Parts: sequence; structure tokens; C-alpha cells
Amino acid sequence: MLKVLVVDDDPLVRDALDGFLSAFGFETESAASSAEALRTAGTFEPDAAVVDWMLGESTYGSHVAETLRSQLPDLAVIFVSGYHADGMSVEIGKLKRARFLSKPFKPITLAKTIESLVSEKR
Amino acid sequence: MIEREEEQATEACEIEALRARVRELENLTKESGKDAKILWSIAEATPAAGAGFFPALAKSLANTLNVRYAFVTECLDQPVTQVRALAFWMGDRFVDNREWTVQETPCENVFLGKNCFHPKNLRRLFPDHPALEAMGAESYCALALRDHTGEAVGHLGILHDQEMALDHSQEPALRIFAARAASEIIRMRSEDATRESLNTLRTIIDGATEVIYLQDLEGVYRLINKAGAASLGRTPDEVVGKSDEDLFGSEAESLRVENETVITTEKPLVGEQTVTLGGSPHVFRTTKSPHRDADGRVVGVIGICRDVTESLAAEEKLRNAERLASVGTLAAGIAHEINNPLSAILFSADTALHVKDTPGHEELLEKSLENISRAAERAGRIVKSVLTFAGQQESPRERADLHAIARRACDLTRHVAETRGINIDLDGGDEMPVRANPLEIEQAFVNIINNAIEASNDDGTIAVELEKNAQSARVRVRDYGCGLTEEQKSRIFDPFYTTRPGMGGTGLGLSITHGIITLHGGSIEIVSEDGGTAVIVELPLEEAAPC
Repeated sequence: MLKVLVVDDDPLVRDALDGFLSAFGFETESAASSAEALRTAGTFEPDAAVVDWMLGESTYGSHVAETLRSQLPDLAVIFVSGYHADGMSVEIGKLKRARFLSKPFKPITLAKTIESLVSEKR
Repeated sequence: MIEREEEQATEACEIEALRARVRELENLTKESGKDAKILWSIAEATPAAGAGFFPALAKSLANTLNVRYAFVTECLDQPVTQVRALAFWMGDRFVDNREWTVQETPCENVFLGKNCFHPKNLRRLFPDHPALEAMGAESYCALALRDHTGEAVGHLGILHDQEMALDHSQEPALRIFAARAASEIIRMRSEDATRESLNTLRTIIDGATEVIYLQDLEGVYRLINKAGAASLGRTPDEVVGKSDEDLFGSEAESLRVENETVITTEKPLVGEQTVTLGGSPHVFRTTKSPHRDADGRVVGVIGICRDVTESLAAEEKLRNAERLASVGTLAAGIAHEINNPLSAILFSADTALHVKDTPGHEELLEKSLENISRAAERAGRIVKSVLTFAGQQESPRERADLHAIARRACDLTRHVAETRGINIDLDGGDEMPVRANPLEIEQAFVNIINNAIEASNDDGTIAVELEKNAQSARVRVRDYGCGLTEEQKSRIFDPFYTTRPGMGGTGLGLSITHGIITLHGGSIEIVSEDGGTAVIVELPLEEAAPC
């Protein structure tokens, strides 16, 4: 069973993603902030993380991903955002095993993206 | 006409003064009746001013002093090198008003203040001088004409074909002629200067693109420039002498009132008037000032105005464009805000569909449905707040407790604060009845507290303090964060203004808040405090609030 860490500061989105992924056979944990994500990742050791691009008003998803990868170098990361911006794609282009999904997207797309990114790693 | 009369009066005075001087000289030269006659002739010979003045003076000078030639010049430069004859009497005729260089002529010394009386041997002193040769000039005497500052304005002189002997009465005569000539040159020059400055003024007035006019106390146009007349489709001559009523009919009333105000208050007035020109309304922005005469009495109105019809239309266009741009930014903000609940709905709905028939997932099913309901509610709230912002219309009010609302707002924001270790302290526990839409006020406080959280450092504190007096309730939300600059403070309520651009804020939160509080008859202000910012909201208590 693949382990996925959901990092989103919006409780609605966090709960929805968490519920969806667990319904579709992933083992999940969730975190509301970068710090919480780091704490959880230490014990949970996820295969993938679904990270909100804009965490609070001042933390970029790329920062969260870098922090997590300092512990888990093979972590697959899927960023989600409500904004369309070219800048983000460029940032994400630099990161390996990372994808960017722009809201709204089909839930099943997320599940497939996680699976394909994790299998890429292996 | 008046000017001409004044001139003649001045003339008369001058003649009178001359006569007095002559009488004085007459006394000095009592022994000679002949001298007195000469002096009288000076005064009598040159009464006319204008074109004939200098020839008359020159001829009279020659006759009076019994010499063949006499001339008056004006200087063309300073220091003097060039002079032009205003009149040159040749004994039987005038020659054309010639110009000559004074250098190496008998005239040079006149302006250097040296000897300028050569009783004889003139041509030997100034040889190779064709003009002197042609005249057969033997003797010369001249005087510089000076203005009150002592600057030479011309010179006056006599020449003779024989030896010249100026006796005691002739030299003063020469001086009197000189004084007379000097005053005429000075008068002529000041007239020229006046004419020139009038011309300059006329050029400025007619060159201006603004409408410039003078009206008298009755509102009759006494002067209007070309631009002004053209804006009325007329020439200046067609406007002068007419009143606003003649020109604008019934629309003249407001203009008349303005003029009256300027005349009675004696103060300038800035206003905008709409008048119909060529069938379409034109807006003029006018400054009217009192027109005073030399004694300071108000004798009319000076108006300077500009047709701003087109620029107003352009401004309106710009405002519309800005409004459209705002709508675009607003739409982007709304899209982002709605995306979160929409995503939550999508995921939770898929989850629910996926697990609905699978035993053991009842809890997840229920949670997903709850999540859908919460997300839809939030989307609805966003739409409402956008409507509040867009319409800024009054919503239904009820009696509500501001304290309870503030507490709910604190509870709603606490989970976000706690993720960053920030503590929200609520202080002041009394009931505060206000007439309000509790959901809107709650939204306002949530926005304020969210902003305070964003501004705070991790593990900081936000203090929410409530207090009331007889009329109003006061809520103070204070953070210990990064604070705001003066520029940020001045723009903080502007729609779409955010201190964290590109960081996900819509820039709408505080402007919506401002709208809500203002519509509730309250006030909101931002105060910089030592290490942080306080937002102070005041709302009228229900007892004191207008129904």
C-alpha cells in the first residue's frame, strides 16, 4: 500500500484529499503546515506527498518539498494550486519526480499521478 | 479720446512750465528785450507734439539762434556710437532722417561730456568729412539729451556756415530747446514701451487656448480673447457688448449668480458650468476673479475657463477601463477562492461514490458528505462576500452580541493560528448589543484576525480586546508582527491591494471588511503600535444606533 502525506492548510481540502486517497487504497496522513509535515514524515515515511503550492500566505510548496526531501530523498511530490502561473511550472520543472496539478482537476488524475510518479522512482 | 485730451492737458502744463522758465530767464536778461523775444519764440514755436514736433523744434532752434543748420537725434545704442536724426534743418529744407556714426565727428564729444562748442574752423578740426564739407560748416555746438537716470537718449545741435558767437542768452535758449526735445523723446519711448507691453499682453491673451474674458458689473462682456469667442462660434467683436443672457439664454442664470458672488464676496470662485453650444452640452471649468480698477474698486469679473467636455469624457472612459480591469482582478480572486471548496467537493463526492456500497466505510462516507456540505457553504459565503463588496448594499439587520461574534471569529481563525503556534487572546467579556448582520460582522473580524495572523511571527500572540462606552462598542485586534509602512497603511483598504503580492491573497479581505463596517455605521482604523499593528473597529451600540 502506497503511503501519501497530504499537506494543505485548508481543512476542507485536506480532509477531502485525505478521504479520497484512503478510499482509493492509499495509506494517508495529513499535515496543515510545513513544520507539521516534517514531523509526520519522520515517522510515517511516505512514498509521495500532495502539497498545496501556497501554504498559508508565505510558504511555497517547493520549500516544503525541499525540506521533506532532505529526509526522504526519493519522495514523489504532487503540487496542487488554485492559481495558474507559468512561474510555478518553471520552478517545478527544476524538481525531479514532481508534478503540478491546477485546481480544479479530476480526483482520479491525482491517484494516477501518484502511482506513476512513485513507479518512476522504482 | 480721453487719452488724447490727457495728452493735450499735459502739453498745456508743459507749455505753462516753459513759459514760467522763460519768464525767469527774462528777469535774468532784463537788459535785453531782444533776448526775451527769442525766449518767447522758443515756447511758441514748439507747441505741437507728434510727427511735426521735431522738425518744428529744429527749424525754430535755427531761427532763434540765427544759425543755418539745426538738428535733433535719438541714440540707437548704449554707449552711444550711432544716432538717428529726428529732424535735420538745412536752412531752407529738411533732409531725410539720416543715421550716422558719431565716431570722429564733432558729435562724439557730446556723449563723452567733453567740449562740444567749436565756434570756428570746424572743417579744419574734422577734415575729410563730406557732410560737413557739403554744408560748408564752419562752427558747431551741441548738447546731449538725457533722461532722469542721466543716460543719453539723443542730442541736439546747431551748425553754421560762419563763425558762431553764442552770447549769454543763447546758451540757455539751447538748453531749453534741449530739455524740450529730451522730454519729447522720453515721452515717445514710454509710449512705445506701453504699446509694446499692450501688444505683448494682447498676444498672450489671444494666443491662450483658455477662454479669457472681462465682464462688467452688469455681466456685459467688455473683452474676450479669440479662443473664447471661437468656443462660442463667434469673433471677439461679436461677443463684446453682449451679456450672458444674450449668448446663453436661460442657461445664463447660474452664470449670473456666480458673477454676483464674485462681486459681493470680492473673492475668486472656481466652478463648472454646462452650456449648450452648437446643440450639444459643453462643460466649462472656470475661475472667476474680481476685476478691480486702479483704486481697487470691483468693476467687473475676470474669467478664465477651459472647455473640459472632452477631458471629462476621456476621464470617464479611463474610469470604465479601470473598472473593467478591477472586475478582471476580482474575477481571478473569486476563481481562486472558489477553487478550494470546489476541489473539496469534487474529491469528497468521488470518495462518497466510491465507498457508498462498501461495508466498513460508513464513517468515511458520512465525513465526505459532511465535507461536501461544508465546502458548498463556504463557496456560498465567498459569493456572498463578493456580492457585499460589489454591491456594498445593506443587508438585513438583527440584534446581535458583538462579543459573541468576536468570540466566534476567534474560534474560526484559531486552527490556522495554531498551525504556526500563534495564540489568540480574547479579552473583555460583557455583552455588547449591536444592530448588525452577524455573519457579515463575523466575516469582517475573521478577515482582520487572518491579516493579523499573516503579519505575526510564529509562536506570537494576537490580542483581541473589547470595550464599550455609552454609545459604541470597540474591538481592537492587535498583533506583534512586522508592522505596516505609512504607504501600506494608506492603501490597506483599497480593493486588490495586498502586502504579499503573488502569495495567494486576493487583496479583497480588508476592503470587504471596510465596506461591512462602514455600512453598519461604524468605523475602522489602522494604528501602528510599538512592534506591530492594531486594527480598531467601532460600532454603535444598539440603544444608540439609529433605527
